[in-house]
Amino acid sequence: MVRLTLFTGCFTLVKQVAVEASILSVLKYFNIELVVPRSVNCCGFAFRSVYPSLSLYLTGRLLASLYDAESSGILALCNGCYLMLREAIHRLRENPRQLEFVRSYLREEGLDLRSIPRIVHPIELFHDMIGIEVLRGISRGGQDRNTVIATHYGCHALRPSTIPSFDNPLNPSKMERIIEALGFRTRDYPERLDCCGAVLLASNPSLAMKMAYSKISGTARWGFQLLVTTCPYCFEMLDSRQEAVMQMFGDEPKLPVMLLTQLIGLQIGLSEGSVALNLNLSPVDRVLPYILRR
Amino acid sequence: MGRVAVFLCHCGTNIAGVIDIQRVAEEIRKISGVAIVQDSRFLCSTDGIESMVDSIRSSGVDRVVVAACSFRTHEPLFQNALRRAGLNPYLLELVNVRELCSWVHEKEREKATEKAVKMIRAAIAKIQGNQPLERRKLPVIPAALVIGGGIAGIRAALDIADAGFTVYLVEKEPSIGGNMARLDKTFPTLDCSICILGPLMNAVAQHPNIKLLTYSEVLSIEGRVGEFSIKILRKPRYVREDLCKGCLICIAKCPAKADDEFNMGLSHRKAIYIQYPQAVPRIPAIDPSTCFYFQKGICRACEKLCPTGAIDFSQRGEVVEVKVGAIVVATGFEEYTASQIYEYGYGRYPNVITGLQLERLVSSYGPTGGRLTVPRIDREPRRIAIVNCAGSRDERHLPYCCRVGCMASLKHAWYIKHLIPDAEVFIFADEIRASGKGFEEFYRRVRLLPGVYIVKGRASEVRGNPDGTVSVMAYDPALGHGISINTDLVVLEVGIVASRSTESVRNILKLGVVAQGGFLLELHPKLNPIETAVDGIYICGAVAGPKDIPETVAQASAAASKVVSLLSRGYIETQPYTARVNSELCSGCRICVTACEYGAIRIVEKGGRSVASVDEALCKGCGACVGSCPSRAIEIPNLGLDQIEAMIAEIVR
Repeated sequence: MVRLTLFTGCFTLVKQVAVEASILSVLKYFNIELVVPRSVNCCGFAFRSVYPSLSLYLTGRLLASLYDAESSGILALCNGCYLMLREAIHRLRENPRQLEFVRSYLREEGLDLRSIPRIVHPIELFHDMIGIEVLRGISRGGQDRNTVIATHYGCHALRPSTIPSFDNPLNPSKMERIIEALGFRTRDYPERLDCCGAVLLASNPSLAMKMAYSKISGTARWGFQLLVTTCPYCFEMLDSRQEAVMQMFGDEPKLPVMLLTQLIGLQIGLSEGSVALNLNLSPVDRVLPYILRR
Repeated sequence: MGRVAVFLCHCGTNIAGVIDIQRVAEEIRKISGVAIVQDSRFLCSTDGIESMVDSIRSSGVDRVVVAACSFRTHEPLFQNALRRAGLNPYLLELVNVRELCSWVHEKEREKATEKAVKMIRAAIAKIQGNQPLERRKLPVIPAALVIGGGIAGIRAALDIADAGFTVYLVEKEPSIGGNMARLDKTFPTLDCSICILGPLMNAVAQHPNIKLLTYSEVLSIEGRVGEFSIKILRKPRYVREDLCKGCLICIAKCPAKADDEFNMGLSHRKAIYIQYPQAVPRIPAIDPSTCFYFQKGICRACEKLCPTGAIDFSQRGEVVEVKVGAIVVATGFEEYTASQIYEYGYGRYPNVITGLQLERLVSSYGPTGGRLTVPRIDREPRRIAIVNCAGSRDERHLPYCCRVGCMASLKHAWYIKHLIPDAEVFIFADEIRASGKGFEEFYRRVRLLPGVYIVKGRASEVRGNPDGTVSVMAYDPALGHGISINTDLVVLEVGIVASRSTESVRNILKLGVVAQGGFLLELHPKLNPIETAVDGIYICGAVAGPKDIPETVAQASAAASKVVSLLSRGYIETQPYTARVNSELCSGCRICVTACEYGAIRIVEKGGRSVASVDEALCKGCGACVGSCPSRAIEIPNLGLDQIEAMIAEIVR
C-alpha cells in the first residue's frame, strides 16, 4: 500500500473543497493511504515575488514539518504549492547558503531538513504511481467513447521548464493518456497550455478575467464536451467564475469543467455527491449523460 | 655529457618585461655542461637566427636549449637553424617561458624569474638524453575518396580529378545532387539552382578520372594517410546499370506508391523511381519496402516492359574495395526535426511547412509543378508568415545560428511575391543577418517589395483556428505589445544539423564532433579548418558547420587542393615521435591497445611471444600508451621515462 502525505494548500480548504473531497474518495478506491498532517503552514506562494526569502523559509518549514519516514512523498493538490515545493527543493540543492539560511531559522523551532521528499502531483500520481493499466481496468464501458475531453494542466504544474517536473513543460502528454485510458477521446488544441488568469486576480483583475475568457471561449470553439483540470486555482477561474467571466464579455457559460478526480470518481462508480459534483458551477449537467456509466 | 648552448629570447617586453633575463643567464651559466648562454631581443628575427647558427657552429656544442615561446608556432624555425648549423634538429629543446611563465605571472616578477630558471634547468637535464632522430618517407596512393555527392562533394571530386588523380565519389542516394538539387533558386542572385548544379553533375558523370558510386555506403576504412583501404557497399538497385538506357517506361507502369523523400514527403513516387528528372545517373532504383514483387511476390510489370531487360530482381548488395591516399568527407546537412519545436505546430497543422518544403512547392519539378498551394488543402495562400530561427539560437534546441535562414527567408518572400503577386508576406525575425556578398542589397530589394512585411520580433507560437487558418503570435518590441497575424501558410526557416549519415561515417573514421548539431570537428578553427585530427582526412561543406553555397564551394576547393598537394608530392614524412616498444619488457597485456585512440597498436607474435607493435604512420606520439603500460615497456623517443624523471628532479630540487 502506498502511503502519501497530503498537502491540500489554503485555496482548496477555503474555496474549492471539491478538490479535497473528490481525491479523498477516489484514492480510497485505489488503496492509497493518505496521511493528513497535524499542522501545516502556507506554502509561501503568496510571498514569492514580494518577499522571496520569507517565501523560501515558509516552503522549507513545510518540507521539514511534513517529513515522514514512512511516506513515499508529499501529494500537493494545488499547482501553486506543487511549484513552490519543487522550486524550494531545487534552490536548496543548488545553493548551500540559502539552505543554511533556512536551517538556521528552523533550528530555533527544533526543526530540520532531514531528507528531501518526493513531491507528487495528482496527474503524476494517477499516471505513474497508480498506473495507466489500472485506470484502463476500471473503465468497464458504458460511457460514450466519442466524448472529446480537453485537458488543462495549469502553468505551475510544468513551468518554469528549468525546474524538474513530471512531464514535458512544452508538450505534456500524461493527462491525455489518463483520459484515453478512461475510455474517452482527447486532442491537442491551441489554447491547451494557456494560462487560466488566476495569478493576476489580485494585481490586475480585469486582465485575469480577459485571460480566463480567452481560455474558455477559445477552448469551446473546438467542440470539446468537457474540460478537465486538477488545480484549484484553474478550477476557480474556469468553473466557479465561468458565468461571471462569460457575462463580462457578453457571452454565456458553455464549457463544462470538471476536476480530473471527479471524472475518475464517476468512472469507478462513485456517486455525484461523493465527488462533490454538486459544487461545480459550470454547465456539467449537459455532459453527464455521456460520461456516466449506465 | 653533451655540451649545451642555451639561447634566451626577450621577445621584446613579452618575456624580458617580466623575467630578469640577465639573472637567468647568470644562473644557467653555473650549470655544468652549458657551453654558452646567449640572449637576443627577438630570437626569431633573421638576425637572431643568424647569430644562433653562428654561435652553434663556432662553439661546437652538440645540444641546444631555446627559452622562448610555443613549439606550436616556432619549433620548425629553430629546428631549421639547427639543421643549418649541422646538428640533428631533434637535439633542440624549446622551453616556453612566455605562455607558461611571463604571460601568466605578470605581477610576480621575482617568482617568474625563479620559475624560468627551473624550467630551463629541467630542459638542460632532459636534453642530455636526447638522440638524433630521422623522419621516414612513406608512399602515397595517387587516388582519393570523396564521401557525399552534394555540391561540396561534387566540387571537391571535380577539382581533384582535374588535377589528374582518380576519385571515388560515394553517394548514399540513387542520384548525386544533395540538398542543392532540392532548391529552386539560390540567394542572393536568384540563379536557378539546378541550372548551375546540373552541368557539374554531368561533368562528374562524364569525367574519366571519377568513379561514381551512387546508392553506396562506406562500410569500413582502414590504414593511414597515403594508404587507406576502404570497403564500400553498393546497395542493389535491382536495375542493371550497364543495360539501362534511362527511358523510364518502368516508372510509368509501376503501380506501387511510396512517400517521396526528395520532395520532403509532399508527394508520392513509385516503388521504382529516379529522385528527380535531372538525376545523375539516370538509372532508376527499386525500393523493396514498397515494391509489390518484394512485398507480395506479384506484379513484375517493370521487368516485363523494360525494352533492354535491365530489371534484375536477383541483384545482391556488393562490397567493393578501393585504395586511396586521402579522404574528403562532405556528407552535408539536413533540417532539424521541426516537430520537436512544439509551439510552431509543425506536424500538427498541414499548413505549417519547412523552408525546404517550400523550395519543393515552388520548384518547377516539385510536387505541384511550381504552383504554390497549401499542402493537403490545395488552395493558393494569400497571407503567408515566414518564421525565422525555428529551432536555431535556442538553448532548448540548437544554440547556434544556421547562417542561411535569414537570406532564405528573403528569398522565400521573393518566391511568394513572384508566384502570387498580391500575396502578403510577414517575416518574423529578431534581426536579419545579411553579412555576405550582395546580401544587404538583396535584403533591401525584398524589403521594398509591396506586401512584404518584416516583423521585428521572434514568433512565440503558431496556433490553429477552426476555419483552417493559422495565427502567428509574436511580441513586437516597437509596439511594446503582443501581436497575432492570421495566415494561410506558415514557413519555418528550420535550423540545420549534420546529416544523419554523418554519424556512421564519423564512427568509421574516428572523427571528433561538435556536441550540438553533430558537425565534424576541424583540427583548428582558424588555422586548419579543412583538416581533421586524422591525417589525410579532410572535411568540407555543411558537415563542417552551417554554411551557404559559396562558402561550401570555396571550402570544397580548399579540401581538394589539400588532397592534390598531398597526392602530387607522392610521399608523406612520418614524424619521429612515435611510440617504441621494448619487446623484452612487454608482456602483451593489451592495455596500451585500448589506451590508443588512433588504433595504432596491435599485438603481434614475436619470437614465440605476444608483444605490442606500433604502426608508425598512425601513431601521433600522444603518449597515452606510455602512461598506461604497467611494465614501462613503451617509450616515446626523446621523451623517455628517465628523461622525464630527470626533469622532475630538477624542478623539485
